[in-house]
Amino acid sequence: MADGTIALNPRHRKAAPAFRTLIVLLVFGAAIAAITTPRTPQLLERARKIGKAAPADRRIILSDHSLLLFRYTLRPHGSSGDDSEEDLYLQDVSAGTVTLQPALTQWYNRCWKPFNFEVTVSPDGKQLLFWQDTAASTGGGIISVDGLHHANISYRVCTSSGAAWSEDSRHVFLFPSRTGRLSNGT
Amino acid sequence: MALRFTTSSRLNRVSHQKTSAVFTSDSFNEGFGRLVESEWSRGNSPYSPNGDRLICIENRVVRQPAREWLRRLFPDLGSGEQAYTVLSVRNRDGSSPHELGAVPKGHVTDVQIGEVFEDIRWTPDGRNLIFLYDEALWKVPVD
Repeated sequence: MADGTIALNPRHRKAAPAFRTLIVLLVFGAAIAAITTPRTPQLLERARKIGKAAPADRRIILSDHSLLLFRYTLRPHGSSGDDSEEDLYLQDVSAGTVTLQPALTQWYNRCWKPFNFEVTVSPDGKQLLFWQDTAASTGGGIISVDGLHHANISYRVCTSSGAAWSEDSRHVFLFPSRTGRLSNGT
Repeated sequence: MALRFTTSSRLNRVSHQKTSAVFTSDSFNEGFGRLVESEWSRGNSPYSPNGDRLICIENRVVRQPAREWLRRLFPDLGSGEQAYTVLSVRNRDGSSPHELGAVPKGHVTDVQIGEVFEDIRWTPDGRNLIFLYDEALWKVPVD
């Protein structure tokens, strides 16, 4: 050893290749596991967050920057007092503003509380179609989001199994379940 | 606002909405399989504005074999199955699914549409979906 070289223990000479082989196998196994394990693409990686939604008991999307909020109040609704009125708000998610809609709130509490109803938003996000399905009849109403323009629908021929807007937001469709006919309103 | 009602029997495109709604799928351990029609009871239609495509929400379980194997050695590691709710769009007849992505789902056995996404709707041009998730409003391109 006078020339400065270091002699390996013969046992170490055998162990080194075996250790390297083990490492290679582990890396290979990890690579196989990574490849074969299905990866589901994450929706939020692809989506863009527009903003936080304000607290509400129910929220409906109107457009890519606005929400309709339903919030229960302490005001009793009806004579029984079992139900309470709701306030309806418009939230601009981009701007972060929440605005009470008094006309819409009044119409909603007068016409649609406490009925079990559905609401469908027009494609342009400016009008709401409320509709209710009972055994005897189907009723509904169209109202602008600001609550200033509205019309009621009374449709007593048969029950309806669905409702929709036309692409241009100018017509609504109710789908009767008994006659199989479609109806539209302008 | 004037309201006029007429009847018509030739609105075939829109009549698809009569059948209600959205398709949900459960693929617990069986890959992607059974499509189940379910009621869509939100404020917005699952159909694109021109009626060509519809939104699909599917609950899917993804098996992770490597994790299952490791769990034999480390029982506290957790299940080798991960549940997701997958958002996708399809043609209105259910063909040509296009996945937009998934979000983690809590329990494998719960199949409630409204459980993950509070509301979803199309943009008027049919090029994006807007959805309420985790107390926030999100927008994702469809194509």
